[in-house]
Amino acid sequence: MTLLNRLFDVYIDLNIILALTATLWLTARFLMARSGKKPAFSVQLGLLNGLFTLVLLSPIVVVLFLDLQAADVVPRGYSVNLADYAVSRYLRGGIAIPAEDFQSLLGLRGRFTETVLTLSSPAGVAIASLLLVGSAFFTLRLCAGFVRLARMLSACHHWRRSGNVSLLLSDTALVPFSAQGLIRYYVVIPSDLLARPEDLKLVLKHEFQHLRQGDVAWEIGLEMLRPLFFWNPFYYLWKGEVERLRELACDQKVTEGGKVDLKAYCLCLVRAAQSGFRKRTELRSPAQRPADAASVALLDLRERFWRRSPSRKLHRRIEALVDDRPQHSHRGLVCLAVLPLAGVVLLTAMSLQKPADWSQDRLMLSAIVNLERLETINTLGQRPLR
Amino acid sequence: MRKRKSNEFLTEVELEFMTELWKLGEGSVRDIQECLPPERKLAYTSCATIMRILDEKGFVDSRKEGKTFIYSPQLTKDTYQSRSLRNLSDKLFDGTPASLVARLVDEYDLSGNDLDEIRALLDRRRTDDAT
Repeated sequence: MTLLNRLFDVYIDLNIILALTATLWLTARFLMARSGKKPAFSVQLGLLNGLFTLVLLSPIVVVLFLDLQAADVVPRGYSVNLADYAVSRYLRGGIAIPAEDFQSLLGLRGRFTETVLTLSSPAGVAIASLLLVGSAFFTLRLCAGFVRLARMLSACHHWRRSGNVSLLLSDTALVPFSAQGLIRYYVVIPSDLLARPEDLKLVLKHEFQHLRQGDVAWEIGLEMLRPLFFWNPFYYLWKGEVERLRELACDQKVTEGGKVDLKAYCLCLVRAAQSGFRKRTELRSPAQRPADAASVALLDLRERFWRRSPSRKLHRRIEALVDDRPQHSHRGLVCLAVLPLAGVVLLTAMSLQKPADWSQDRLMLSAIVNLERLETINTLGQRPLR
Repeated sequence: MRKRKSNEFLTEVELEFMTELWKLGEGSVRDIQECLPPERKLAYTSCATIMRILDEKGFVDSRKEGKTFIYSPQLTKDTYQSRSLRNLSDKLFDGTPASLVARLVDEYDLSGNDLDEIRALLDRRRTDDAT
């Protein structure tokens, strides 16, 4: 197997594992909501980010596991393989389709890989082109976003500096946002906010909480993966969940324990939205609009395809803020949920691997396919001539 | 202080500060802060930051007197009014000042005196153009 084949296999595996993990997450979220034991948003966000890290690390974990197995550190019996399991089920009569069709089904992924990598058919050329063009487009868009952000940061007025955080004032920023450079963190505040000292305090608390949560780093990481996962709807679903939870977690942390007046905080969000919408209308040309890549804003004012409108998102945030039902961390419950979730992710990663060698069951399946072919050939002579 | 590439226009707060400075002629941060309505409750540091930004944008000039910076406007109110109107006419009225004036006359409840003044202005302009 060539390196390209191997890399493409890892890429396909990652997409499948991401889809499965997103489905698992949605199920877990639904169960948490139904049971009434909804952990704090920051705990949910931590769980979500942890699962995503596990998805990305799963190919490395699989390689390590297979190496340990090859070195006889881990017994060979401790392996799970989806294809082997399906063959075993087939031989026991669990799957009722002709043997040749079943074998063809098993080889589907291999044929898909070959078609795309060798460009042996128009479909293969179309898929490979789509992947390459899509990745190139989203990489360029990401680079353009970084350049726009850098330009915007350099056009800002320096306000204050604390440690490695710079506070900047901008005339063009629609809403306050946080960004991260190679060394420094930046909090950008629309300069008009200086005239509203109470709002300014709340906004700074919110943005500092984003930096503490590491939200900007996660945003950059997720955006950098977009060129790889651009066609996968589960990537967008996952990113939407991260964006939703990080704002809710941030709001919850800022307002917890009565540290700030809830009403003042909600009104601050509404005023920031009003001011942002007004500025958005004033900056008519898209070129004038500020950067939105690799940054985490107080409010998302972008109208995006198949996403909730900005006003609906703000409505949900305020609803969550004024929800007086106590929300505990439920750390014990989360710890209990983490192990099975992580187990399922890693087992899926393991089970998607190609079998290392021919098992008895596979030999048996191959024998059945050959016998069926022989029978077809033998019965050809017995058929009446027309 | 290094001046950045300036922005041609003032934000709402900056305009408020510039309006006070135009009235004062020149003044320190404290002078401008005292001119603002008391309900603004702006901290001295915030006012100083806004004045520093105005300095960076080139709207004001500053000189040090003892430990205090004294700011003076770099452009007159009339000049800024013309600049803003031209921008408004270009961006919102497709570069047709006549539409801007028409909207102004339609929307505002102009008194007879206002209308007479406008008419006089237009007559004067027409006479100037003819000569």
